[in-house]
Formats: sequence, structure tokens, C-alpha cells
Amino acid sequence: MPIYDQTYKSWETQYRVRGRWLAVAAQELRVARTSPIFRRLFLLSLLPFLIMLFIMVITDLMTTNPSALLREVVRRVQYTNIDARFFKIYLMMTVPFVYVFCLLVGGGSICNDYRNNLLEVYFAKPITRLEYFFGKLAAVCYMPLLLTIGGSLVLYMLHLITAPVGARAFLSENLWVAGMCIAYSFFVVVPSALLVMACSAMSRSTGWASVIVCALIFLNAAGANMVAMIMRERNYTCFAYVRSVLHMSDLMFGGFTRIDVTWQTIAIGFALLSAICVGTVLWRIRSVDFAS
Amino acid sequence: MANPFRGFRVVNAISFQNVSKWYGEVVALNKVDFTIGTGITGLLGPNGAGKSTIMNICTGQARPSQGTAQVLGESTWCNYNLLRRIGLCPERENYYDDMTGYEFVYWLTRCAGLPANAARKATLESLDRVGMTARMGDPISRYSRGMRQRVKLAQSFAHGPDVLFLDEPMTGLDPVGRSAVFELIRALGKEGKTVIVSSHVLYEIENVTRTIVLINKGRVLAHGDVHEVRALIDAHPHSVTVRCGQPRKLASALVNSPHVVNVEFEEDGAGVTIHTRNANTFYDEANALLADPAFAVESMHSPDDNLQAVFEYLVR
Repeated sequence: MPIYDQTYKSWETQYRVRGRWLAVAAQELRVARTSPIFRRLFLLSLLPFLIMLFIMVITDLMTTNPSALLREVVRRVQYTNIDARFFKIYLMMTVPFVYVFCLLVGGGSICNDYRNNLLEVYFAKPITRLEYFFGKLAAVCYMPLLLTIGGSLVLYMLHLITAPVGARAFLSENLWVAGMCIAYSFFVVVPSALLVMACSAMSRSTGWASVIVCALIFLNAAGANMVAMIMRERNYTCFAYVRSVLHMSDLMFGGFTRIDVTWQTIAIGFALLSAICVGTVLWRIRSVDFAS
Repeated sequence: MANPFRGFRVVNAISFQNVSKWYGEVVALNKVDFTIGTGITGLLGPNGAGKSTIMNICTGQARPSQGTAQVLGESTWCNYNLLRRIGLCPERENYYDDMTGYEFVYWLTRCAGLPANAARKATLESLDRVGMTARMGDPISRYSRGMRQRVKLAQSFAHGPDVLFLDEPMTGLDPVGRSAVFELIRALGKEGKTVIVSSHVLYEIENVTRTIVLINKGRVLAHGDVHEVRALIDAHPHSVTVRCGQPRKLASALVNSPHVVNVEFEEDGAGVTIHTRNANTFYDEANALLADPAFAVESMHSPDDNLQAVFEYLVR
């Protein structure tokens, strides 16, 4: 029998204790980036930003232009005032892309790992279930948040530079808008990402996860409308996910609202939905029993 | 003189104490007890014996329903510090097909906690050791099964673990690849790593180690050096085949020995197989007898002196 060296050798470098979720997130994003659909969608998702940027630049330039005729034209055209409504419109334009990105990245986030037996190798590394979960969530939220927060804040900053009335005046009037853009982005993106991840954890493929998400949103909307009709109370439509997202934008940025539900009620509903989704994902990850 | 080892604790690499694991009504492991030291150990058993369950418990992916499982003196369940010192090459395929071999190993090494530069270096080194440097930039979907297996092996030891669990590591490898992996496992053992190789193919285990843990139906049947294990099997006669010019004469000379159970002639008539219950005494007697040139002995070997025989006896 051979006599082996009895000393253990350790790797000479330092092990990182924190931030391992970043490796999971970066890996997930790398997988998503290789998809040609992702790249095309990314280019397409720049469209709302470019449109709003164009409107903003034209508005700012023309408002400062001495030509009274052009100034009058811009003043009369709708949506050319750079205020809370401008940013609300931008965010509303990006919401469809948020959902598509969530489905594209998050639809396969958990189920593909299941299908490819990758959870086995992930969890044989010193990665906790929570690190894995946060890594995946970060990957799913990355693009939508970049689009919503990144886009709106870049527009905001650009307007500060080119604002005809002066940055100071714009800031004093619209400082809250920047905060609302961030808050609303998180409000739209995080629950959507969690919902998609939960569906991914419960399904076998990206396609099935997407079908489940779409079916849930459709059934939810139909159900909420039915309840509203039966109860003869329009406020019940806020049980519909999409309706709540729209209503929240009205509440946050100001606008005409057809239902009388407070933002706290909607926030509680979304927090509940998020908690259920987190629970589902963690339960699925924890229940992985590779030997069975 | 002060004891230089004061404060050091001697631990077994792996220690299972009365470990049971069940999934619903299915008992995967049943009161398993064994300890494994440094070096290479073969985990041997037919499919469904419980080898993968042992590996899963050791790598913290399954919790023992009963008993205590320790690796390097620490409990395995939810012990993320311990997982840094462990490497696993699972039996099943685990890849994203569009990922390259390099990326696969690199990301998993990052997940193991190595910083980017160290992970890059470790990835290149490990891929080099499994002979995948030339193809590491290709997507895994273009790899042969053997290449996939080698990449999987590379990720298991890239982060420099002390204990390596290789679940059926030779699956899908061609003879050249097998030979390379045998060599790699032996080298890892010599470096001081504890390597646990599971397989149901006895030849594979024999090629890398003589130390085995034999498992069947969730129980440990035998544990130790294959020769020692074989010597413990008193219920089964030990066979020795002698090929010689005078097999009948040899048979008549041996049949009267009290240690010989029976004698069988080989089909070609050029040899005789002797079954004995006391192999050591028999060898002493046979050596004296076979030294006589009248028997014209060509060779003597024991078909029982390998893992196949041990396995068959114990699993039977």
C-alpha cells in the first residue's frame, strides 16, 4: 500500500467570504448576454430612452431659441414639459421591457440550473442558499433597473445641464421626481423579478416559466375585474397586478386616478406577493435533494 | 522538550458514525460506520448502493437523518467554511452548453471564493492538469463526453480542496482518457489530498487504490485494504490457479492437504485451480511443493485476489 504525504496543502490565496453572490449574478448575466434575443431586446429597449432624450433636447433647445414661432409650437405640443409627467411617461414606456427582460433572464434562472444539475455543483461550493438567491435576483433585476433608474436619472441629469430655466430652479421644483423614479423602478422591477423567479423555480423550462407568468398576470387581471364587476366597486380592480402598477405611477408622479386606493394598500399587496415569491424560491432551493 | 504537536488535533478525513439517511420510506443509508484517512479510497458498490448519498452527505448537500457525519473533523451540514476545503465531481452532467470549459471552471472557482486573479490562475492550472488547455475556449456543447468529464473534474479541484469526492469520474472516458485520469487521481493522492473515488466498476478502483469501502443496499459490507478484506472472508474458499506441465500429478499431490477444499482442472488441461480455506498456510505448502521441477510450473495466480472477487463474495 502506498504511503501518502500526510500534510494537507491549502490554496495560497485568500478566500473571499463576502460577495460570492456577485459571482452567481455575473455568471447568470453572462449566460443571458450570450442570447441573441437579449442583445436585440437591449437595443430595442433603448428606444424609449432615445425618444425621450430627443423630445427633451428638442424642447430645451427650442424653448431657449429666440424664434417665437418654434417656442409657441413646443409649448402647445403635449408631453414637452419636462416635469414629473415626463419621467412618468418614460417609466411607463420602459415597463413592458422590464417584464420582457425579467422573463428573458429570470425565466430560466432557477429551472435551467435544476435541469442542468447545476445546483449540485453550486451548493458543493461554499455558497449559501441565500447568496445563490440574491445572486440570481441581482442578475434578473440588473437590466430592468439599468433601464428604469439608469435611463430616468440620465435624462434627469441631462435636463439639469440643458434646462432653459436653470438647473437650480428645476432642482428645487423637481428634486422629489428623482427619488420617485428610483422608488417606482424598485416597485416595478423587484416584485416582477421575484414573480418570474418563483415561476422559474416551479417549472421545468424557461418557456414554461414564461407561460405561467403570463397566465398568472392574465388570470389575475380577469379575476380582479370580475370581482370589481360583481361587487360593483371599481377599487377592486387594484387586485390586478398591472392595474396596481399603473395606479401606483399615478399616485407617485401625480395624475388622474380612476380608483381610490392608497399607495400603502398597494405597497402592502406587493410586499405580500414578494414575500410569497421569495418563500417559494427559497423553499424550492432548500428542498433540493440531489440523492433522491 | 516541548511537544511540537501540542495543540494539534488528529482527525480522520472522513468519519461516519451510525449514519442513516432515508427519503420517505426508502432507506438510502442504514447505520453506516466508517472512517477514512488521507490518501485515495474507493467507494465501491452496485448502482443504488448509497455511494452518491454518502458523497452528498459529505459535501453538505444532504443531511443525515440519524448519526454524525464529519469531514476533516467538522460537521458537514450547512458548514460553508468546510465546503471551501471540499471538491465534488458529481456523477451527473452539470453544464450550460453554451459556456466554454474555461468559463465553467472559472465561475465555479469564483463561487468557491477565490478572487478573480487567483481564480484565473487556478482555472488554467486545473484545465492543464486534465489536458484541456487546447480546447478550453470551445463551448461545452462541442465537447465529447470524455472532455466534459475532464472539465467537470477540473472544477472539482481548481480551488485547491483538501478532500475530493469524485463520483464515477471515469464515466464516458476512452482508454487514454481513463489512464490520464487514473494518473491524475494518483497524483492528487500523493499531494496529500484525500480522494474518495466512487465507482461500480471495480477495475477503475483497483487502478487507483487498494483501500476500499464496500457498500451495498445502504450498508457498509467491508472496509480496508482489499487484501485484508479478502482475508476476512472465511466463508468463501480462496482460489489459486497453477498452470503447469503435470496438472494431474500436482492435483493428486495437493488434494490430501488438510487446507485444500477441492481441486478443479482447467478446460484446456494445462492447469489446475485449487480452492483453500487457509490461503497463507496453503501458499507455504505449495511453494515447497511447486519448487520441484517435475511439475514444470509455468505460472501461479489467484483469480480471487482482486476486487471483483471480493465484491462478488460480499454482494452475493
